[in-house]
Amino acid sequence: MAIGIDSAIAAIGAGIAIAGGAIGTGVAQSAIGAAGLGLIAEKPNQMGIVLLFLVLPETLLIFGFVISILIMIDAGLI
Amino acid sequence: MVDLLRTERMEKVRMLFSDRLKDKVISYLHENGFLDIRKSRLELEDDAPSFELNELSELLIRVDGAIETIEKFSNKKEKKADNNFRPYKKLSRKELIEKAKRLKTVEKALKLNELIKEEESNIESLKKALNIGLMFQGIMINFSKLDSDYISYKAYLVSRNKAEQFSNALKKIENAEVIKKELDERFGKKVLFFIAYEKGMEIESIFGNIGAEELDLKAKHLEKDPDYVVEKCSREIDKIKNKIKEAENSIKRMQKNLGELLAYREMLEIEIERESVKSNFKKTGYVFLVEGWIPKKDAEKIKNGLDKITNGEFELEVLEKEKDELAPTLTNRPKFLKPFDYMMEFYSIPRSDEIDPTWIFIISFPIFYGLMLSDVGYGIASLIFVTWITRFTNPEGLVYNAAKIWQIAAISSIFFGVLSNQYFGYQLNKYIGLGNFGFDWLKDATTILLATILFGVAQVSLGLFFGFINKWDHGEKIVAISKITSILTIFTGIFAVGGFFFHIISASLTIYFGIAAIAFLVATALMSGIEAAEITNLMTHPLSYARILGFGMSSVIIAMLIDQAFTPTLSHGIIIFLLLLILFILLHFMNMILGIFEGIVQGVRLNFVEFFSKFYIGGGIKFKPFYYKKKYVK
Repeated sequence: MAIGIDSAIAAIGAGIAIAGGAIGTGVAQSAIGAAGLGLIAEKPNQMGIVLLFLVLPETLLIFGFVISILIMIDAGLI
Repeated sequence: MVDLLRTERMEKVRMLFSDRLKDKVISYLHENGFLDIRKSRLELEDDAPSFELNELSELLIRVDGAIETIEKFSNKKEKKADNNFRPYKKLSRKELIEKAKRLKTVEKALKLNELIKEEESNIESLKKALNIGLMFQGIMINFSKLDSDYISYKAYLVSRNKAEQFSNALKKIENAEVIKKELDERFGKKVLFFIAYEKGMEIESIFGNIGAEELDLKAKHLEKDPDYVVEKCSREIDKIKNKIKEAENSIKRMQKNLGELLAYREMLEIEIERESVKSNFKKTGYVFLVEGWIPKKDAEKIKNGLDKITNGEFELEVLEKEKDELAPTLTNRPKFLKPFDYMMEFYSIPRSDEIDPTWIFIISFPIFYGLMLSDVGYGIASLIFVTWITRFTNPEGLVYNAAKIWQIAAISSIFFGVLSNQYFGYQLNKYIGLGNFGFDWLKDATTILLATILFGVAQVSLGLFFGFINKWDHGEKIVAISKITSILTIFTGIFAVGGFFFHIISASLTIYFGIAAIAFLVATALMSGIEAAEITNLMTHPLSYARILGFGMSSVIIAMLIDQAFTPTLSHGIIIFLLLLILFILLHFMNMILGIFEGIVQGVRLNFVEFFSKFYIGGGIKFKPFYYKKKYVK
């Protein structure tokens, strides 16, 4: 399937949007995960709370995802 | 509706009884479990448990020890059979103490357990001596004659790579006689050094840090020559092992009495609870006073019950809640939904004076989970797995309760799987007569995105509305109103954004809605500092619900890719078929695990973070009635 240059740029843009969100989430989760594991080592009963904090930055990835979907819709890719 | 979102109404009561009715009243309260007892703040003398508490506690320790011993040596089948026995009739306290003291099984089990422990320790010392005997075999030595006025004897074990170094160090000891023996693999390839030297000499410092392990040549059972030690210790060990086996068999035979012991333990625990509770009472010369919380709906039942057992000789007064007091939280939900309460306890119990959002959690969590893992195949597989888990886990434990919630969520997965036409990534609705029923994750992505965000708007607004009720009830009226202006900000904002970007309303209306949104935003910020800090969340939290689309869609796409690449076919031969089949199952299994994990974590998160943060206070105190759940006694 051949696509035009506009659609190709839109697809790249969508990719960048989701990649940015994913990188941001990864950076935030690495710090939270390290601190969280430290807490679990001391207080294993706090695992639930740590897990909850660990998934908090995933919102960034979701924003990236929403933006990429909007770009793709606008470009007629989906 | 509002009652559904409230925990049980509680009443604080104070009851006065005649002292002579104490045991009767305690039994009644303990049997029925209406009352969460609290110590009264009245300045009266504290009541106290009687001397019988110590006696009961000592008996409980003995019975518990006997049960532990029997259970340790019983096999699983026998333990299971024990669950079928009929409950025992409860004894009076006097009878219980008398009979518990004379329980022969307890006496015997404790004695046998003691004997086993003693014999196991004997085996240990015999094994130690046996080892030394084996090491010295071939060396002419008499362990009984190592005590001399002029000569000291010592033995060391040294690793082979340090044996040379150790030998050289020994040369520094004047007039020492050294016997060296290389030991085999049973002793970790070590070298034995037996040294005879002049008494009074200090030789340890000579070895420095070579790491020699000294053997105890005066250990118990070391007598005569090494062969004698080996023969005697081996014989003794066999004898003791038989003795232990006999004792274990005797304990196993006591399995038939386990039911009786469990009933005695239960009766002792009940009596201990009934005696200990007195420390929460207050007393005067002739009356005693009990205070606590009761569910309001049970108030009449309690009064009637007390009236019956005391012949009307009691006073019950409903008290006003003190300012610093919080009534305990009691929820009244159908049994199959209780696991959700268990999960709420893990997060934080709702306070008795706030909205209880558990019902919303019960409804929304399975929906979120089902959407994120919308596949009939994955749903059925996980349903079978969790049902299997519930068969062998403790109904009081975390795993069981989580599995019960997961069961409901798996059913939701199947439902949304049918709706989205997903069967391990295949679209099979047309084969079961459903045609193009439902929605398609890829074709309807835009609609689903919009729907999830709107769902987010609805749930976040509901959270803000609950926040309004909570704050209003607690007298924080301005903060309460700021919750309403937050809701208005969201709704006017949606129309303003929708009008500006997507032209859903006319340009002039868009401007009005924009102005209104800004006005509500400013009003919110002015009314409450906390709400002002939450302003950005008014936009980000509803958007956060788009993760339902994200995780749902990714799970479906991965499943479809697995099907495209690894669906097993026989066209390339049986080996390729088997290889593809293994990969197909493995990859679908991994996708399912990923989907399950994300479904649970994200489903919980949307509730606990996005929704609860708008209103939930938590930190309630669970209603703990004075009650014993009997299992072995009727």
